[in-house]
Amino acid sequence: MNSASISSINRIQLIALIIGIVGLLAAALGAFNDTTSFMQAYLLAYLFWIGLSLGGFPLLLTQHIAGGSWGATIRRPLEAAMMVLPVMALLFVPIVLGMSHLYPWLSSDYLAIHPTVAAKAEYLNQTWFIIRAIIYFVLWILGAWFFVKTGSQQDSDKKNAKKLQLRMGKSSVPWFIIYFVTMTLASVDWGMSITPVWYSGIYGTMFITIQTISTLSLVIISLIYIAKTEGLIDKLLTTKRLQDLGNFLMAYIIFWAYVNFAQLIIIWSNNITETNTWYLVRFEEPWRSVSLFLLFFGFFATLAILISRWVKRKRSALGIVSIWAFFVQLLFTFYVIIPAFERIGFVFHWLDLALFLGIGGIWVASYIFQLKSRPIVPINDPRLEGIIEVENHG
Amino acid sequence: MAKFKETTRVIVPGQTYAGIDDVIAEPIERDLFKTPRWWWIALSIALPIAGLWVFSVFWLITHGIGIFGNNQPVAWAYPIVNFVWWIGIGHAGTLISAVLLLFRQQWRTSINRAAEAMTLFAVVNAGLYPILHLGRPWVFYWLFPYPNTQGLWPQFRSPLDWDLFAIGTYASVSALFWYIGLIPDFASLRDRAKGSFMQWFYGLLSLGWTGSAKAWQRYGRAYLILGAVSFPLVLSVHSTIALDFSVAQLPGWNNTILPPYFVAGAVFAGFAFVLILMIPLRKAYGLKHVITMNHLENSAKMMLATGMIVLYGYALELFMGWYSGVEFERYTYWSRVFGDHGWAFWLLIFFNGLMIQPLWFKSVRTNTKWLFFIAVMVSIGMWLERFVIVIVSLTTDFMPSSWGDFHATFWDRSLYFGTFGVFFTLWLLFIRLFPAIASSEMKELVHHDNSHGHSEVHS
Amino acid sequence: MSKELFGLAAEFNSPEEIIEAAKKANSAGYKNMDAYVPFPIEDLPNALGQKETRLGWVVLGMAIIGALTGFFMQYYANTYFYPLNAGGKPMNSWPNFVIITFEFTILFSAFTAGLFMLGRNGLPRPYHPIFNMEKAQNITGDKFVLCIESKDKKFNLNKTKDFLASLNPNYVEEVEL
Repeated sequence: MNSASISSINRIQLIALIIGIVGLLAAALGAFNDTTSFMQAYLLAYLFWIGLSLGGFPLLLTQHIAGGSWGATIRRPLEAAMMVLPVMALLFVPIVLGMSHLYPWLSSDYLAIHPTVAAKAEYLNQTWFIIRAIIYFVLWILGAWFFVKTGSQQDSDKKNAKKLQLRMGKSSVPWFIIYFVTMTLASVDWGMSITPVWYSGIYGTMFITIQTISTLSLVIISLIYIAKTEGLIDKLLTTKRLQDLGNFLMAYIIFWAYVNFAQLIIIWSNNITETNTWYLVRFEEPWRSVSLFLLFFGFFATLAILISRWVKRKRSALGIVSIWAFFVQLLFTFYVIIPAFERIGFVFHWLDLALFLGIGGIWVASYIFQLKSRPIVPINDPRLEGIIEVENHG
Repeated sequence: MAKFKETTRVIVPGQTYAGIDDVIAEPIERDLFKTPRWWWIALSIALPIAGLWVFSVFWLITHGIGIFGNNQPVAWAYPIVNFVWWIGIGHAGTLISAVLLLFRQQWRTSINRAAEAMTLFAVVNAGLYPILHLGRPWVFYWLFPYPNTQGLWPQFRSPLDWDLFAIGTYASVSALFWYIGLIPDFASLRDRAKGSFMQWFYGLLSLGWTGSAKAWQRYGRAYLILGAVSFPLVLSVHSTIALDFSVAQLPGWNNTILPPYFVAGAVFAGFAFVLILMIPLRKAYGLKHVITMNHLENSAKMMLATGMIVLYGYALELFMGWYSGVEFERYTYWSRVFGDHGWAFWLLIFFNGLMIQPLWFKSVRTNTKWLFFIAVMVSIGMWLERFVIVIVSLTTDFMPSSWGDFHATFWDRSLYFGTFGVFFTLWLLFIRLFPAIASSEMKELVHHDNSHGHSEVHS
Repeated sequence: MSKELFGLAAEFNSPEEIIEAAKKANSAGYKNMDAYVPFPIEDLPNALGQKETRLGWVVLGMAIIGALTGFFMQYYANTYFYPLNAGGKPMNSWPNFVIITFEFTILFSAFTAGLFMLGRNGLPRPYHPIFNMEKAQNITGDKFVLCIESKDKKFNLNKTKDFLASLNPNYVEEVEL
């Protein structure tokens, strides 16, 4: 990266770091007052931000398996996002410490009156929850590390660039499987089991979709921002590639709606007491308004804007839509997690914001740290062969 | 015709526009009496089997659906299993035409036409099944919302009516997509035609297409839009079929993962069938330089990828059944694996899970014999999957007093067997009368190949 | 004996040549012309001075009409005309109406795209003057034809013929109407 871009993102990094520390400190004060609300807000913020790292998996692996030059263009931001995972692993510790405030299946009183939950105690218990979390993190960090290491090797070794690319492409398939399985189980552990009676097969896919959309939005925003000062990215971010990214965003948003509709119609039609609680809560105020907002503004409006080719080809327009999509996914995560806690009264707690900013600040600062530490474009990626040189001279 | 070597590129380099025309049009333009012998042999096998279908339908209409093994509690049996099986096969056709078009994957080009035809013929078979299953098939039009003297409307809350609309839309949009794609090629055949009948026949079908650049522009846009709308359509069709099951409360059916996992299964089965059809076709018509190893390998990769998603679905179904903690759910999945029909589940795992694993190796993916064999295995496996979901789930539902068993009858089997006759008769007529490969699109590909040196190859 | 003239056609061998020719004809001021080619060529309509098609907007409009038709057909039937309590679901069971609404949307947009394209292209059309070209069959084969029509304001048999000949085609042919 050139010095202009470094100094411009350094400023963001500093601001993010300050916001992060202030947010966490403020939240820590709140924790003494109201530990339960703190834990709920923490889990929410945590799940959203770790999603931005984990969303790197499906995107990075897809582009390694099937991507053209657009894949090489988005590689570095994805790798940087995934490299935040070690930090996120540390931030998981408070969840383990405060898990009794989050997960009712830890209480024997709860189990006594919920036989279907007691029946799955072999899965939902503290020991296995922690062991599984360790396994997830080990695998995820290993995956991120593998792709980053091989990528760096490729940067310095032009001769073997093709071979290394092939290795990454081939490894992507098993990592895809690992990601899918671990993420499904992690979403059950961390999200679904807040309401232990409730279950839904598509829940893991829903989390994967949230992660993919939010990470993709972040990558688009990052690239558009960096392109302002960084010539190479500016050249790579042609209207055609921009449109490709916009199309992906649109496709994932359609898929997100599809996943939600599939769950809605099945649970709504089944109307079984174990599962219909999800929509019973969310079809009543205040969540009813959120449901409608997500449907009309989060989905229909976003889709209507993204259909336009003009929007997808214009950086500022696509950037704004991506920011919007990012916040829609944040709201959606809120919508998935918070009603499960059965909060009474005003649904939004100030700690939600403090921890969103706190963990978010740390995440963004680490992300920028990772982004700066390596070349912003994988120059030796064979898929860029001919493109960089030509566009550099032209 | 020049000899071309096997290649993993999208097309063999160095081809000409005229060469493309020749190779695609040659089998169609042949004199009727010079039709290759294998074609006649194949038709003479397919036609009697189609006859068996006609006879089974006749028997069904005259005797009622009591001739099938359906009973209580297994009210949905072979007809629905076969219906889902056939409609699933169609999905690869639309996926190849629409999705790969949107993702600018060049390997779609030489197989899309044939795959779309496969879709249509599969949908013909699939679409007839629920109608034949109605009990009084001749009043199937009652499903349509039309003003009638009885003052009745269909029950739109019922998934069975969603099916009608989903499959109706799917069939008609696929047919439109296919026909629009064929228009320029019909024009080309019209212009090449030697006999006046051929000229008249293809002239009529081509609607007077001239190849005007202005027309091409609108054509390209319309084709892209058709691709864009077919993409969600293909997602919706098999999802709707999944909803036929999953909106019910029956354990084994009511899983929320069913819609996406059914779609993956459909694509899985579809690509297997694409391979079953393409491997003999490219050999018989000498199309190895047009339908290259690249296409076969990519289809194999798609098969592997969707197959793995399907396996994920099986695992998730079992896990969620257990995780629910609900007695009925747990019992259903337990009996799916270890119950009286457990053999079907294990065979399914063998065909769909184990048999696709060799596809991880490139040497298998580029070996036509292996591919053909695996594709047949997968087709059997996907039939078993529907058998397990539909029939096995029904045999043991909530109350032990209402449990029952299922035995297929001769007519169950004969009707299913007959559908193959119908399919292959249509398929043989298609490859004889219509261009099985989109020649104008192939020319475009040749143009790209010439002007950019290399077509993009994905490895 | 002279018949009425549709225009003058020039045949070329490659997409690059015809794009070049179309550009030159366009800058020479010819408006009523068309190229006849065996496959879509990306830059050709542009070179001919053809505007972008509005097909997308028409389809979008029909898609919305399709969605409304689909939904309100069901709404009307199941809540107003023939209300029937099935499974205790509300009369307006909107989640259950989504699928047919969706299928109507797709059906309307797909057929609009297909039929509108055919209509705007004047198809089906049994006769077209370009078929009068002696080697018309090559158009859908491997040749690329540029035809300047006689109704163009700048059209002048000799001058246009010279102009087309200057583009270095295989030949220039008078096409009868």
